[in-house]
Amino acid sequence: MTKSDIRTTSSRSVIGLCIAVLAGLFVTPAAAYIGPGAGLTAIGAFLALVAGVGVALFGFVWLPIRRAMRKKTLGEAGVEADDGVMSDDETA
Amino acid sequence: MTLSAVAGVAAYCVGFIVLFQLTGVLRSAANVMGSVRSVLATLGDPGNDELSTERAMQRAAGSLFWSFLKIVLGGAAAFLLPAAFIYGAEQLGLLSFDTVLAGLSDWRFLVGATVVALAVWQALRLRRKPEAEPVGDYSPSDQLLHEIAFATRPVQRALGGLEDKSFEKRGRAPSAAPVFIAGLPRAGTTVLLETLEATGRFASHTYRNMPFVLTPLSWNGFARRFGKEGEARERAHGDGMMVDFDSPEAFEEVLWMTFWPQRYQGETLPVWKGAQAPKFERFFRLHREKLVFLREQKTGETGLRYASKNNLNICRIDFLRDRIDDAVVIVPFREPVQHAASLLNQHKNFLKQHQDDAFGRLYMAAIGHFDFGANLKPVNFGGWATKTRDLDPTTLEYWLAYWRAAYGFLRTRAGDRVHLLDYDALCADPQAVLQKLADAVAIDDPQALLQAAPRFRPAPSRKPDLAAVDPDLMRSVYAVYDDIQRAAL
Repeated sequence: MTKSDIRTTSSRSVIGLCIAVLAGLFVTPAAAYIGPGAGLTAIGAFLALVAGVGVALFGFVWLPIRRAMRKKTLGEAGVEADDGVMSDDETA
Repeated sequence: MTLSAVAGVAAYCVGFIVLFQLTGVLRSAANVMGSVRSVLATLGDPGNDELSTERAMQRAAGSLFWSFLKIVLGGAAAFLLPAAFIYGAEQLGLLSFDTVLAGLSDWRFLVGATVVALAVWQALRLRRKPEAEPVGDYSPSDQLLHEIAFATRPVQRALGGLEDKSFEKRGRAPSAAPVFIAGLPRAGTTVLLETLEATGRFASHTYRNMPFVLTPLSWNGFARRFGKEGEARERAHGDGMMVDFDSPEAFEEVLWMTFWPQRYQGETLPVWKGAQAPKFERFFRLHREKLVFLREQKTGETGLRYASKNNLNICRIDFLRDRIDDAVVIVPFREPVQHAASLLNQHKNFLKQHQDDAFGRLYMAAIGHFDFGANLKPVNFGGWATKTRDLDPTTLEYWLAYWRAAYGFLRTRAGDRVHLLDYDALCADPQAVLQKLADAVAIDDPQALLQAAPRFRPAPSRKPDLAAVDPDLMRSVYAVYDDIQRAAL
């Protein structure tokens, strides 16, 4: 094992310990465990809700705003002419 | 625990499992994963325009909320209906609700139920055919990683910018003239890149840069630690070209599409002007330097140069020539009928592949390969594609018309640092043409390039049916061919 390997291993251990401690802070005692069925239902519902809210914000708010802003900024720029040559836009 | 309590717990469990299954809670949970992957695929496909992306996101949001409702309602039904049954039994004096509840929340029961549930799940998983089959070399988790990478290009661009800051602190001297190989596909661009790469004097993208192409330094560090090795396998073209993790490949387009996403959303791809694009130019320059740095670090060589094969650079010849002072562009071409027949053959090959393999189609689009199949978006040189909308891409005529438009345009760009290369001549007389190539790219070790001569052999000739091709088109195609042959190296 080289010096850098040892450093990597020890830094991994430190990170692992930190994660374990942090996780411990947020987890209530094991008695609160609610079984496989309830657990799956809770996790599934939570993920569906979080993903749903995230995707909804993206699709109903952010993307329409970005499209409107781009339309306003670019105007006629970024349009392909009849000869296939793109006029310049300002994104890069 | 009394016998009646045990019977109550058992009755509750049976009721719960039956209702859990009937209300499809697990199916809905799986649908959540499906919706998330469809979101990633939509965001990762640069061919989607903004409006269709928006609508797909809205549909996915609806589907996720619907899954949420089904999980909550299904879960509630599975919990409450058996509880109501137990409560009814208590009213009839058959058992005690509190005792059954205590049994259900006992830690020994919960642990036992979890173990049994896991065992049943594992047994069912082994018996059932997996829903997400590995595609080629990509396991379901590899696919998910790629989908995440494809969907997060803007984030990676920002991370790439952070990399730039620390990379610049190294104060490396810039590498010498980069070489860009660009032509219509099937013109020998891959073999030319491999030939340059094999000299050991160039650095280019390899499969190791995938899928986080925009952050080569960070991804290289991560992949080196956790990455896996793979054996060489034939690429998707089915043309005998073998690839492994260290094979050079055309991933450069990911940079261009990250900075100009709107240009990929139409049915055709536009031609770039040579106008300034300071943010991109800086990002691209440092990106090239990073690849050179990584290769030099790996091989111990110094003085390497960037080389890329990126067919779509044919629409950016002006940009490369005007915005990169010392760029050398090599544009290979072949005899037009043979070239067009090969293009048509690959288009048909990929049409079939893309129909059967959604991930494969997304992968190709996400790395900017719009050459063939369901992803086909031709470069609209001189507006040819909009003027000839009735041409069918499954005919030779279409590919001949594309060939004429492309090389007719590229002929006008040939000059000091933009060189046309006759691939058939290279195969017929490799020594002579490789020497010219060595001169054109000013390689510091020409002998290393000449050593590649034995790998070039004339390709077997196809005999396509030309009866349906417009004679005027054929005449003009060969007029362009004569012209570019005269202008070639």
